[in-house]
Amino acid sequence: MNNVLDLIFSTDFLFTTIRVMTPILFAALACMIFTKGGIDSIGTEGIMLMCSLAGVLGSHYTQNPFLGMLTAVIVGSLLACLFGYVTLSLKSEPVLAGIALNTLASGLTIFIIYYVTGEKGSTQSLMSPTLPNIHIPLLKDMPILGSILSGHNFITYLGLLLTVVLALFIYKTPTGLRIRSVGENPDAAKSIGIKVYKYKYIALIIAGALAGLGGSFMSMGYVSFFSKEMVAGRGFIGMAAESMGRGTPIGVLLSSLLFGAADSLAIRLQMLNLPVQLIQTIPYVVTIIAIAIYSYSRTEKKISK
Amino acid sequence: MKKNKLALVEILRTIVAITTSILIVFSIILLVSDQPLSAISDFLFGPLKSIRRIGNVIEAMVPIIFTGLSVTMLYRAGLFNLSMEGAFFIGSVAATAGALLFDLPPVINIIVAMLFAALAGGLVTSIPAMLKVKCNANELVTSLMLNYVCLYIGLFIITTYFYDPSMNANYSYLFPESMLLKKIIPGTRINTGIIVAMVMVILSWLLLNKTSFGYKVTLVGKNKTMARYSGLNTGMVILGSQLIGGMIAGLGGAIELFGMYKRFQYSGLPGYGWDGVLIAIVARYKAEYVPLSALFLAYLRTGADIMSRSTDIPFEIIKIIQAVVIVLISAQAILKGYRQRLIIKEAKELDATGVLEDE
Repeated sequence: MNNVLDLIFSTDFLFTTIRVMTPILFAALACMIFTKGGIDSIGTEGIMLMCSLAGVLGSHYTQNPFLGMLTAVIVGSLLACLFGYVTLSLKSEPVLAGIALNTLASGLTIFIIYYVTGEKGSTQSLMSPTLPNIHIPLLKDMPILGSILSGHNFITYLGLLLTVVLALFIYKTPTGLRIRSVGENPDAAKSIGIKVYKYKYIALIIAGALAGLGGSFMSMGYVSFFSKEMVAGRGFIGMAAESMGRGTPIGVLLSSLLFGAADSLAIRLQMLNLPVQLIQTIPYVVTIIAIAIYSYSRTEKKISK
Repeated sequence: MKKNKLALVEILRTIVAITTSILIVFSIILLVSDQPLSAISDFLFGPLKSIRRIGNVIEAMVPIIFTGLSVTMLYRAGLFNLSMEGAFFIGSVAATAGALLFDLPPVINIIVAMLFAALAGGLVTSIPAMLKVKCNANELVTSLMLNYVCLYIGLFIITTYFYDPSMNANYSYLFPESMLLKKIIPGTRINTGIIVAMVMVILSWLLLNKTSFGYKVTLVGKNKTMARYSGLNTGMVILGSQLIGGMIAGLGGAIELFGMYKRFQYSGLPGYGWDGVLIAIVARYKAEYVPLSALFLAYLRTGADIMSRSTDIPFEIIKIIQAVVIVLISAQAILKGYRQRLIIKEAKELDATGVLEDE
C-alpha cells in the first residue's frame, strides 16, 4: 500500500498531471469561449485532430516548430469559422454539424497523411521539429517545486498564461463582454446595436485558435508525430471540463487539472500491474460522476431559489 | 396536398446534399488521383459488378440499420444521447458472454445471447438518460464519456474472461458453430441478420407510429413542457425511449457479431453508432426510411472499399461524404426560399378556393 502511495504522491506524478492536463486545458478553454459566444462545442474534438496534423505538416515544411504551431492556430480558426458559417448561415443543427466536423477530421487527416507519407497510421517518417521544453531559471533549482513546475513544454506555459489572459479578456474588455451578451441573449444584444455575427465570429476565431494550440501540443509536444485519432476524446473531455468548471477560467483550469490527475493516475496505476483497461476508464467515470453531481447541485439551487 | 409538397422539399434537400457531397469527392479524386476515371467508375459502379459485391452492400447494411433505428428512437425523445456507439459495442461483448458461458440447446442459446446483448445495450443508453432525468446532466457530454467507459470495460471483460491464448490479438474463443447466423444466399455472406434487421424496422415503425408510447415519445421530443403540462410523466417516457434505443443498438451488436464473425475481435469502438446518426438524419428520423438510408451508406462504403483496393484513393474519403451530407441535410437554410414560396402559393390557392373559410 505504501508502495502505491509513493507512486502516486511523487513529484513525477504531479509533473505528469500538468503534462497530460495541457491538451484538456486547451480543449476546455476553447469550449469555454464557444459556450460564452453561444456556440455548440462538440466540434472541438475534430478541430483539435485536424490541427494536430496541421501543426506537424507546418513544422515539417518550414522546419520551424513555432511556424507549425501558427499553422495549427490558423487552421483551427478557419475550421471554427467554417463551423460558424454552416450553423449560422446554412442553419444546420449545431450538434449534427459538430458531429460532421469530427467525422470530416477523422477521415480527412488519414486521407492527407496517406498522400504525404504513403502510410495511413502516422507521420513518424516525417521530420518535424517539436516545440521546446522550457526550464525556468531559479524555479528549476528549487527542491520539489522545480521538478514539478519546471521543464514543461512551451505550450503548457502558454496555456496557463492564456487562462489568465482569457479571464481578463472575457470579464474586463468590451469585446469579451459583447461576446458574452451575444452568447447569452442574441436578440437582446442585437436590440442594443451589437453586431451579433461579428462577435460570434470573434468567439469562433479565438476558440478555434485555442483548439489549434491544444491540437499542436498533441503532435509537437506530447509526442513528436501525428497518429490517427490521436486526440482520442480529449475534445469531448474538454466539454466536460468546461461544464464542470462552470464556464469560468479558474474553474476550467481546476477541472482540467482534475482530469489531468485522473489520467496521470491511470498511467501510474498501470505500472502496478492492475488491470489496464479498468484503470483507463477512471478519467471518463470521474467525468460522468462529476458532471452528474455538479448538474444535480445546480438544479437543487434553482429549485430552492 | 400541402404536406406532400413540403415532403418534396425535404426530398430535394436530401438529393442536393447527396449530390453536392459526391461532387466534392469527385473533385478531390480528380485533383489527387493518377487514375481518376477508373477510381470514379469503381466507386460508383463497382458494387454492382458481382453477386459477391452486391452481397457486401447488403451485409454492410445490417449493423447500420440497427444503429440507425437506435438513433431514431433516441433522438425522437429530443435527447442527443450518443451512447448508441457504446451500446452497440457492449451488445457484442454481452453476446460473446452469452454465447460462451452457457451450453444451452442451439436456438435457445442464440436467443439468450441476443437478449443479453439487448439488455446490456439498453443499460448503457439508460445511464445518460437517467442522469438527464434525475440530475439534469447534459446527456451529450455524459454519453460521449460513457462510450469510452464501454470500450474499456468491454475489452476488460473479453481479455479477462474470454481471451483465447492461442491467438496473438485480444480475441475471444471461437463461438460454437450453432451460434453463427445462417447464410441465406449462396456466394455471399448475407445471413439471417438482414431478416432480423427488417423485422426490427417494422417493429420500430409500429412502436413509433401505432402505439400511444410512440406518440408520447414524439410529443416529449417536440415539446417537453407541453407534454409535462398535458400530464405525461416525461421522465418515464424519456427513460423508456432511451432504453429501447439502446436495446436495438445492443441487439445490432449481437447480430453483426454472429453474422459476420466467428469470435469477438474488436479492439476499438467500431463506429457504427456514429454511422447511425447519418442514417437517422438521411431517414429524417423515420423508421420506415432507415433501410433506404442504410442502403445508401452501405453502397457508398462498398464502392469506396473497391476503389481503395484498385486505385490510390484511400477508403477514408467516404467520411468526407458523410460529413457533407450530415451538414447539408440538416441545413435548414438550403431551399428555404423555395419552401416558403411553396407555402405561400399553397395558402393563396386555398384562399382563392375558399377552403380556408370552410375549415
